[in-house]
Amino acid sequence: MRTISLAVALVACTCGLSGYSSRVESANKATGRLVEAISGTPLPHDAPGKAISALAESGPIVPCNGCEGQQFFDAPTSGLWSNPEDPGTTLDIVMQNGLLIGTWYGRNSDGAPQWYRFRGLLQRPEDAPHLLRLTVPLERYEGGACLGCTYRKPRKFLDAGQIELEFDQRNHGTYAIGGGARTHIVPQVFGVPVSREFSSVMHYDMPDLAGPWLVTFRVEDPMWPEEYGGRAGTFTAEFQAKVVVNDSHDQPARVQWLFSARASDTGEVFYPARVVCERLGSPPATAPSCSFDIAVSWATFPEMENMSFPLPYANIGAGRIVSKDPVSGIRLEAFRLDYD
Amino acid sequence: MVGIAVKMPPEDAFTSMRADAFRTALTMEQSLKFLIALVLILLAPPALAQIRPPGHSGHEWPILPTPNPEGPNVPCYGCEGNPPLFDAPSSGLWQNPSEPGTGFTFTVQGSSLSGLYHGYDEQGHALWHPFAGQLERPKDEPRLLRLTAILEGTNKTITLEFDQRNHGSFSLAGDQKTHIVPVVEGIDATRHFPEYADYYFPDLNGVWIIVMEKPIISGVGEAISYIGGLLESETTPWQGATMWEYHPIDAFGTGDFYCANVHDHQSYDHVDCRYSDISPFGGNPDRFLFPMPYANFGANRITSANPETGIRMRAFRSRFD
Repeated sequence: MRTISLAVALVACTCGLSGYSSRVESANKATGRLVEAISGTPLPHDAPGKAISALAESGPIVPCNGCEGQQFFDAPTSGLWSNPEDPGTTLDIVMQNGLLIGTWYGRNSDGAPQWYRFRGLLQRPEDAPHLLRLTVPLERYEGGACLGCTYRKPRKFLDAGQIELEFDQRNHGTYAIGGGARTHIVPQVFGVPVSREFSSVMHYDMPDLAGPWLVTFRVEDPMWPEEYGGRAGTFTAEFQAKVVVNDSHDQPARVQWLFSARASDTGEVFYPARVVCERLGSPPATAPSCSFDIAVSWATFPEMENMSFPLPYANIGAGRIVSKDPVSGIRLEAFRLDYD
Repeated sequence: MVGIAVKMPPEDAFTSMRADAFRTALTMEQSLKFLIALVLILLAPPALAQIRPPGHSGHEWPILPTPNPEGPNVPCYGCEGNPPLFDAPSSGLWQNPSEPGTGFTFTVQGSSLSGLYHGYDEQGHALWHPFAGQLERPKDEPRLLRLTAILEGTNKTITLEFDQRNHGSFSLAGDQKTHIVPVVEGIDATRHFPEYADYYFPDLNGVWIIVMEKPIISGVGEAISYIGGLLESETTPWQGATMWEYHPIDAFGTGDFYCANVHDHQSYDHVDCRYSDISPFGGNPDRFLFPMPYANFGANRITSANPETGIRMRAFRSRFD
């Protein structure tokens, strides 16, 4: 096993930021979702009243610029999701190897607490491969034991209709129950501070990324055994405090987190990567474009010397950042350390 | 500040020499495993693994297990002492597997835990109660993580206590503890040592990233990470043992996770799990042994720490969640 310190490893690294390409998509468009009227559908048994009564979409809209035709994420974030405008309803989503196990927590039409379980393998629609979608029946359980009481097996009922989930980014999606209106949902973040950047377009609380992260790359390569990860690499580094640059309208024009790393032998600080979101044009009409820029070169990944992964805005999560380079097919997966 | 050292592949890693190097390392590793086996094995009885069939989701409960109000017993061998061997319980669904249809949702972010209990009222109607709080290590039992909170909508206090990343308990107002474990449905799970632990061990085969972190001293730490495949060994070198070999793709050598049913000097049966790897930081010792509490093996994470050096080991499963 051989370990080479970063100082030696980054021979081809562009130190500092001079080597970064300022990759900004010019095709920023505020997509502005249409309010859809939903045709009348039979109400499922005592299904979630709020979702059924509303005919318009609700919840936070987070446009996914440049996502069409791409597969920038493998799975939605595991954890609690909600429409922040409706704190009384929560979805718990657990992802395991493509299987989604979900629980809807809300109230029925009488205002009584209700929960439903649902599960299934997420699918990529052929006509919309940038999405992950699931339509499955809601499982309602009844007759179980109360808390602290002797166990009693509950009965399962499939009379609450179906839930349709659709995710366009790792941390943004929609759901509808029984053919009702779609509700936009995002994960609940309570472990790190959040801030609303580009708030006129992006209704997404951006988590503070500062702290230590683990960054990994993988790509299928016939020269490398797939069961070992294919051609793969990894490094750890620490995101520094966020830097926000405002424009003449006093609106954020650029938000950036720099990765810093310290060479173990010399102690020298390097900046091997950054996450940056930039907006072109005047607010409020334009959405930002984000990227995960790498300036680290490996023998196995020489292309990383000046690599920029396009980053859908809501792929930047509190515990994970994911992307995929459309040209090389290299997948980026970054884990926050000391988080979950 | 966390320092960095990147475990780099050799310049010629693309060549066929790489395969030869792995082969050599494997041979050395297998020899070492055999020696370890001689030390560990003392009349270990063969363990009959109980395998949950693929695709079994658990939610249909075709054969309801015998209700056990105490929940699954998963002894925490090697958990005493410092440093703590896990930082947080797994996020996700937790339940007493013998009492399906009720349980908890835990979401952990840092030291904060947000939970939801789902169950039924006295009439059997569904209900749920949220709760939240900070996970803390009791001063008198630093190996544990504990949280006490009010179940919203009730006047009941719930106490959660975790002794391993994937094993814990809950109790209401100081009543009897019920042990709980995470629900694993996305991959197969096996009870490797059913006489020892009521724990369905997740199938670990897959791609994992291992991070080794030195303790932070004077504000400076050091972390090394590598990525590779974790494969269950086809030829376990001793009776009653289970082994997974870790093959990093971006570094030489291999590491091993292994669990063996052993007797200690008091003839007490227990399962001893370890992770063994060459020190990525160099120096002495040149090989680390990380004690592995049985339920620190999870579907998406494996965690431990080396008692002598304080180095933490964490493994993340790639593209799993």
